[in-house]
Amino acid sequence: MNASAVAPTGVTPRFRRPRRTTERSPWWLRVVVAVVGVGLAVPLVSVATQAVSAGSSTAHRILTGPILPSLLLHTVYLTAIVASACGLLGLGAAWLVERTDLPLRRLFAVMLLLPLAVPEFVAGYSWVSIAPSIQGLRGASFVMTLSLYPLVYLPVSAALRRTDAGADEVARSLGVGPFARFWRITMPSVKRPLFGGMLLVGLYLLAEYGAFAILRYRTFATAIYTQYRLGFDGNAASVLTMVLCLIGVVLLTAESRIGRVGHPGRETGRPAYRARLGWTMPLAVLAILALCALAIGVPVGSIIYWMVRGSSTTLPPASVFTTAVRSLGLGAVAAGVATALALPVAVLSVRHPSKFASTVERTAYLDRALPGIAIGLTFVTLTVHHLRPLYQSTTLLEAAYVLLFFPLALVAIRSAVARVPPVFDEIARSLGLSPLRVMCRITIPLVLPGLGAAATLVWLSSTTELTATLLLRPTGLSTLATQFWVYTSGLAYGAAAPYAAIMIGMSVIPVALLTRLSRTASQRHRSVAS
Amino acid sequence: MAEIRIVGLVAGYDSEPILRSIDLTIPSGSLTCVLGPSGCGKTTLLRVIAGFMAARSGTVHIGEQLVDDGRRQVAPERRGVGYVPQDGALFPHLDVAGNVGFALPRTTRDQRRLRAETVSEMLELVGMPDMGSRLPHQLSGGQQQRVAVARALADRPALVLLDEPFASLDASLRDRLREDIRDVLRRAGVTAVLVTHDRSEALSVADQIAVIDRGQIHQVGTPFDVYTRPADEHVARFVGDANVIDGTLVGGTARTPLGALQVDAGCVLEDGAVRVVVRPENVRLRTSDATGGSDAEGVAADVTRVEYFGHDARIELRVPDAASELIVSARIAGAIAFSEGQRVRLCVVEPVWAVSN
Repeated sequence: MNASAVAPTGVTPRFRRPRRTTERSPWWLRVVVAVVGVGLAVPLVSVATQAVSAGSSTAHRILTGPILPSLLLHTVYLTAIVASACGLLGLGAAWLVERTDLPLRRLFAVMLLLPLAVPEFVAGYSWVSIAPSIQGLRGASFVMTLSLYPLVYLPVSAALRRTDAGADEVARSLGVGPFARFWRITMPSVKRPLFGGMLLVGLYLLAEYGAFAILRYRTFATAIYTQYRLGFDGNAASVLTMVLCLIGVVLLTAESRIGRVGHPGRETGRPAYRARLGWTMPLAVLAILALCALAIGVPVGSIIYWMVRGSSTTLPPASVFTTAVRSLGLGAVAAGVATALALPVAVLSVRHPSKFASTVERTAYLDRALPGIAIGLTFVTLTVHHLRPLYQSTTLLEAAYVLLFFPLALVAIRSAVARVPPVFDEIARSLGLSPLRVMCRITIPLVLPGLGAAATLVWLSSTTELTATLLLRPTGLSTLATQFWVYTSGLAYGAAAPYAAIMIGMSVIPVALLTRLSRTASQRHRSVAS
Repeated sequence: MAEIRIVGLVAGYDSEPILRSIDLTIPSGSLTCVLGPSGCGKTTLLRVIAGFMAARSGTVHIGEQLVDDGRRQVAPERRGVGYVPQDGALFPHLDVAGNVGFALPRTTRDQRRLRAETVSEMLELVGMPDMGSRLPHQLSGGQQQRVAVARALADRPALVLLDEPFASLDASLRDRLREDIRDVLRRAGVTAVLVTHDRSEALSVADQIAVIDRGQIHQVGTPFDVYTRPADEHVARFVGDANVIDGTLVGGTARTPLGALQVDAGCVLEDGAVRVVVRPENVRLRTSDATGGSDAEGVAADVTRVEYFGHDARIELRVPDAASELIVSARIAGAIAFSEGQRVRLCVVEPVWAVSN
């Protein structure tokens, strides 16, 4: 998983009062954004056209055949179980950490987020390699819940941190008891982040391929991959991909409807009361410790176990290093390109809001409904039929990374641009600078931290990307994720362990970055309110 | 230096314009205050002059240049206009010198030398010499405003626009700073437009005041004019506290419940029903049992409320003999010789001013 994609709900940009500016955006900005918009639309359009060109007979066969109902059932079961389990765990953990006198809260706050740094396919490997019986619906639900609950925990704890004592104090003075206050004051304020996080869990479940392949649970992603690799049935895969993306769009729409944080009420600037745990305190600590042990202790422990036990495969020691460098290099290019392309889109949509700008932005967010398997497969079909020279080229792989993680970059940069008051642009303009020079001398220097965050998120996410890389990589090119995959598929768990360790180590950086982003966002919010 | 001519300016949304038909001429080299309550369109007016917003119709000239005719706009960077927003908005990533010299070219060595000279000259002008290397967050609010003014003046603009530049500062700092800034603008010899909702600010610094409300200009004049000879009741009440009383104008004298009051000769209203403006400081009170003066002078009034401010006090009175309920407020200096419920004699310093009914 790419830890960072929680950003959309974790860090909501604070918008300044919109100010109507009749001034038109510079033409070159619109041209650049239009080109980016067309690029963003390519995978969406290709998924649709490929499904259509698969022919009505294939479509009919897939849509009425036995595969689709069973896949849908699998998806519904899994999503229902994992999303509700994540909701419970995330809400409970967030409440304990943010609203009770739990000891070691700061430590737990970090530890509870760490599972974000473990890609799901690594989590799957860590469990299966020590307990092969963990598989099927039960095993998959168990592992995925432990891996994905931070998607709920992060936004819910941010919301709990933001709400302050005011409403609670008034409710107390009106004689409302603690349980009633939880339902009537606390719950309404976390409802949106809670359900938003749960829908995000659903999106991740749709997108994941590696973990379900290891855990032997059939979902759309694994079925599509199998159709494509083993059956060589490209048409069937295209139709299934289309169905998968449509479900993704549904989840995404729901998420964007409810996931946004509403208007915070008036605030007193004082943090909310913490409930006293009393004699239940040891139980609460035990529960949190158990969650951390299962969610982060087992994956890390299992990797250490395999590294100590050593590999059964003969592995040249240099190869982990060179693979890591190669992966980082691939990721760096994707990060640079995605950041450079996202900046003009962010500037246009924040500074010159228009139908055109929001269409491009929506296209970008719609791309989030396309999991790695969909982008990978579409690009394979597209290049095999129309752009043969690009097939299995590094360029194509980079393009896939950029498309997959562009929304991530856009969210980070957009919130950074929105934090720069438009008055700076206006002053610079009145001092005689053209819009382009304003961009270079004001906007870019001021959003530099945001650009850095965006680039880091994209960089490390693409470094650990598995599914699209498996489909698109040039023959002979291996990345950390694919090399890890080759070893695990061959049951060479010991040989895979160092790769897993490096991927986890690298993913800690974006997780730390995200935590800090959401912390400072809520602090800024509070200081503005007071 | 440049004169600004605004004719028939309409700006805002199609259905509901913020500015409706503004006509305003700002003389070259003057400091004009645009005074109005919040939401009246005064900031919009400033933004149209600066070029951040477009006019729907009407024309705006800066000097000889037509900058906006409702269809085409000259870009803000081509207008030669300095802009000082409410909170200064210094570029946070640049130090004071970088902010002040922002617009000045720095390609050649000569340009860089000239830039450094201008920056130190400007900082000297606003009373902040040797502070070029400070960063914005190291400055107090007042200092930030000084730098913002220096930045706006550095490239010798013809016109400087100031949007509530003192609103976010402490009261104690404000008076001093606005005197300083007025002197700086005078010495720089630029035309300046300052937007404010603070009447004492406008009255004390402006050469000319334009009173604006709901997108329309009610009066343009010197501070003395708009205070003593307001164009209508709205202006009378907005530029200062006012008792506005019904009266009948007959040959230069207004008959009011406070007696027959002589009206300023500058008033050109025709005889008939008018509204008479009496500033509280022009209401004189006497304890009715005081010796001297006949009882015929003034009217009887009951003190209903006393508010003490230290340097002066506001007394609210009810005039019992008036046909309808009449409350008059008076502002008196010195010790308070009055208490609530007391019966006093009230008379008005003439001449007074009248506005149309």
